[in-house]
Amino acid sequence: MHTLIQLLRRNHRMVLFVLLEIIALSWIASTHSYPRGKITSIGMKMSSSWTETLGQMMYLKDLKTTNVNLLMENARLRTANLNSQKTGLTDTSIVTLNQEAWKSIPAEIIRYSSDFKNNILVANRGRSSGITPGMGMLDNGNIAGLVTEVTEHASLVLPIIHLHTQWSVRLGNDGAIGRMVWSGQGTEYATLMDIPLTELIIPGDPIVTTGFQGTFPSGLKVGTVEEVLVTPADKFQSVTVKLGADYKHIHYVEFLTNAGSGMIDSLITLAPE
Amino acid sequence: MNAIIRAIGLLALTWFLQVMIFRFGIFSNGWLVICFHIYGLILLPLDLPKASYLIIGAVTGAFLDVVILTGGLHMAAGTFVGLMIPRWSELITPRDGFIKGHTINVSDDGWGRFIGLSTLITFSYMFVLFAVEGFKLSLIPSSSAKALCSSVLNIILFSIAQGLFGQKPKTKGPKVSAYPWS
Repeated sequence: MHTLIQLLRRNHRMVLFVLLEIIALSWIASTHSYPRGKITSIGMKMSSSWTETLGQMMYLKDLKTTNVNLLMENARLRTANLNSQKTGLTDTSIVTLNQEAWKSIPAEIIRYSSDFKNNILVANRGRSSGITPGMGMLDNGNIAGLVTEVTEHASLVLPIIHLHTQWSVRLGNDGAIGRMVWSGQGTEYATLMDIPLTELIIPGDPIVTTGFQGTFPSGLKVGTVEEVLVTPADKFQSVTVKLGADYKHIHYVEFLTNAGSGMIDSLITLAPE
Repeated sequence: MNAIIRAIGLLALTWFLQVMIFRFGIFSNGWLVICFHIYGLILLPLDLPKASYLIIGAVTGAFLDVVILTGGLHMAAGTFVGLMIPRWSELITPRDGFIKGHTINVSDDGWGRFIGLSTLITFSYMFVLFAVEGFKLSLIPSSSAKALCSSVLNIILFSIAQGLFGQKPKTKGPKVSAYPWS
């Protein structure tokens, strides 16, 4: 016995090695047969939680692609929606007059300024994608700007928050028509002018497009009434409009094009001076 | 003592990196496998008690097996490497020996010694890993080939890590001159 202890002590390293290898090999044998060991089930729990964390990271990575895909889908649906609204009208004469086929083209804003008086936006779609000057731009379904210049792969957009732009808008779906301008005070608000005093306006009322400019179809969201400004000496009242477009976070946008606008423009040119 | 703590910390870091990132480094149908935690074993001080290498190798492998579900493969390989580290380090020891608490590094020992020790440790680890995984004598030649391929990949990685984060050569002489005008 004494000799055995001495032998083990002398070869303790080899004994430890054999012992550890036996543990490892029996572990291998246990995990390669059914039922799996308790240690394996603990390992599986740890591994699955790690895989879950990794999956969440991959999900975040894919979020940008998903966002672009959603934008494309949104544009396609908006096009279908705009066109179905037109064909839904029952009056034949109106249908004839409104044979407009609106199409939505998704894009991404690549240059942007919102801190100046004459702000501009540059989108990553140009002539090659069918963008032409005069087309309207939507941000999340709200009107946001007007295309003024295009190159092959980019377009320059004048947003509502530009001192030299004016927009024809309507109070509600059948309210008074007015002129909306930007006063240069903050990117969230614009001013609606030339509204008759007789018009009853309540904060929260929707402001929509008239469609008269040909840039947007009628009835698109512009914003909501924030405040009504009445000057007793004046015959008109002004309205502070809270814009629907969020210029501080603008990123993915849509351009609207109307296939029938050329026909309407040619008709306008025939009008006597 | 500081050298041991530093080495254990490095081993823990390499183990963590293996679990988080390099566990997915399996290429060419399992012929190229990254085991970055071996780098931590290579950087252990060369004068530890011989039995401690066995324990460190076994525990590192066992923890890895628990987390990445390899069921004892890394423990078997780590234990074998733990047995062999003292013998491999004897092979590369210079005639006048290493100083106390010395860990292998390129700046003191040169690329030859570093790559030599890395090759021996990595190949023995990989060989046991693939041999135990196959568990058949007929698979020994393919295990050796796999171990060789994986060793090459791992040694490249360890060399990059050593080049980037390894001990930098000590500057000769004081940095600030006693005669700043000179």
